[in-house]
Amino acid sequence: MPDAGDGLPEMLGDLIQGNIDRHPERADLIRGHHGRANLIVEDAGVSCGLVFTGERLEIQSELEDAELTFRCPADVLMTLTHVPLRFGMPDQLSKAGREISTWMMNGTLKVTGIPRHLPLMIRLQRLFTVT
Amino acid sequence: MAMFPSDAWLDEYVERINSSKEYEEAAATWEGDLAYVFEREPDKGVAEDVWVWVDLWHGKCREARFGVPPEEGEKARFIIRAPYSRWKEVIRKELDPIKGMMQGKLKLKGDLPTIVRYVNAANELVNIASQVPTEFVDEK
Repeated sequence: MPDAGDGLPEMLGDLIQGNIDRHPERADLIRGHHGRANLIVEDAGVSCGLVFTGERLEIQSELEDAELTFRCPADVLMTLTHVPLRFGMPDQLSKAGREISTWMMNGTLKVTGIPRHLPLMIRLQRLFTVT
Repeated sequence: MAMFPSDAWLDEYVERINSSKEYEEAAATWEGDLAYVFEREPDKGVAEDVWVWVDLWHGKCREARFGVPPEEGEKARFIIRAPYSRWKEVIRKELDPIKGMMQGKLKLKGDLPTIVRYVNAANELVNIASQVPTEFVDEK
């Protein structure tokens, strides 16, 4: 069988680009901002790093010096991409928003680096979400 | 028992899509066609890439065609492609297609934000495929 590459960076790139195409104002979440985050999808055994350079968002290999790290299973990541947001955070009035809170409390979704890098987390959440 | 991949397998798959309440509910607002590409693996009995086109509309499959020419399949709104063996893993539910995409084992061409909105419908399509009584071409 042919070797498989790592599709996560490509998926994230397509998702974020698609969201910016639909909502051009979201490009402002990238321009002028700096930050380094990791996304680790444990059950798929894949990860990537996201670097806000001030001009663009680069998706790279997992970073050694990330300020913020998301660690979750694939299905949780998919929920994160379509959870309704309120003030940039998962809306607790929605079923998906409450699921995210439960997963954070029981450790299914681990986010390290908050509250210090809360603005970076909010920027990423708004870039990921298709809502 | 239908051979995968084949026209007969596709017929059975479409029949099951159209009788699935779960899919109908999950894809109630979906509008768009989809092409599956089962990539060639000559040593497994799949000599050439096989293109399958399905027209999915509001929770039903309106039309499906097996063995469409690539130039026709390429016009589909979404294309999911993988080697035959990967599809076999998906149908046997040994490979979750979302994880497979994250791992680069399945490739999606099309608007990803749309797909993630309908992830439950995509999962139902896999569940339905796994329910088709299937004989795989490399096991006959």
